[in-house]
Amino acid sequence: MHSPEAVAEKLRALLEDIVGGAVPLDEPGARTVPLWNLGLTSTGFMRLLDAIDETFGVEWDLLDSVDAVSSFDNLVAHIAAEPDTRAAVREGADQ
Amino acid sequence: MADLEFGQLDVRYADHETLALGGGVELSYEVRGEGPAVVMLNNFAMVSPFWHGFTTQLEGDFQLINYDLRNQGNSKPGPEKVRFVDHVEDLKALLDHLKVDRTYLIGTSISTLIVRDFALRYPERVAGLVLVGPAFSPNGGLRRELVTRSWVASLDSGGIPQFFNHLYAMSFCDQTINGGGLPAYLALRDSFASLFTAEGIKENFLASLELDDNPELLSRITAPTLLILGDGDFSWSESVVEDALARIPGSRAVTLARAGHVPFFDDPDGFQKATGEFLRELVAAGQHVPA
Repeated sequence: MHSPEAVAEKLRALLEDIVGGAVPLDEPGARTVPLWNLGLTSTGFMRLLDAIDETFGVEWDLLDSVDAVSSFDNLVAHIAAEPDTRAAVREGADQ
Repeated sequence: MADLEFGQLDVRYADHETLALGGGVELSYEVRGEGPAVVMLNNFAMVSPFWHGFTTQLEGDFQLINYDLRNQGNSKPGPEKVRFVDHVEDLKALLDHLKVDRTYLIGTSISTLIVRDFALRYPERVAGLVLVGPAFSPNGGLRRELVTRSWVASLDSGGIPQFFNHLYAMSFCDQTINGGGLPAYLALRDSFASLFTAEGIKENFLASLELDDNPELLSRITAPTLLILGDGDFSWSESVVEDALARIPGSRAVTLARAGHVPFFDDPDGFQKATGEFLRELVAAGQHVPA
């Protein structure tokens, strides 16, 4: 269960918590547009980065993060590629 | 709402109205508070609602008017190529529409030149100027032209992402950039990329190259003028401030520590304190505008 799908599910929950409602991720193209288009303000964006750090143990660096945060799908791919993240998602799935 | 921390932007257009200027041009504007009128002009890298986060302490004493320039944010440019003088005449049209005969003006970066030109064209409409991190120099225009062309080159070579990196590194002070870290940078980058197009910003910058940068024009300003600088502004040093004060009659300056080219971002409180004290002093001295 340490698949990108599991990461996507957790990330979606974080995003909806911060935005305060459902985000239209199931609409065509929604997963590849900037997060702003999903209703994420700059304040929410900063909260999301904190939440990703806390939830997945992802540490950001400049070169990787610029592309990683450019869309929902890129975020999922970036998080899923983190070794610590795989462990975190696996632990969550085992509980 | 409370002032925002660095990296957080208010982009709510909830209370904005639209002024149609003909030819397809529309200005999106907002009026808040009561008292003497204060108009705040965007630079080329911000939109009208941003002002909310930097002006809450002024709302109680002044009628605050902010708007998007004709080719940014919710305003519409119309089909014609934008000229810099359009921004000057748009300001006059907005004041006429709002029946504001006389006002205080706040400009930031490039819009200090819109403010300058408006004050020279319509001195009877201006009761005082607040020029924040001016794009002009009291010594000439070569540096501004070089900076402008380097920004356009960034837009041409790397679009909004490269331009934003260029802008970010130059606009904010060292403490703000490093204090905000990657979260603030990434948050503002995402917002910026969603709010602006490379074409719109480039058109504005190219139009600004039409400007007459003759510093002698600054000597013709008749309104009381406050300069607000950040001590981390890439183009202003202590001695350049002295040159500006010598050039602009009736001017004074406040330099904010740990602030950059747009010091209201780095130090919203310092910006509002300096602006509020200056404007209230003008009101008390009779340089007031009809409330």
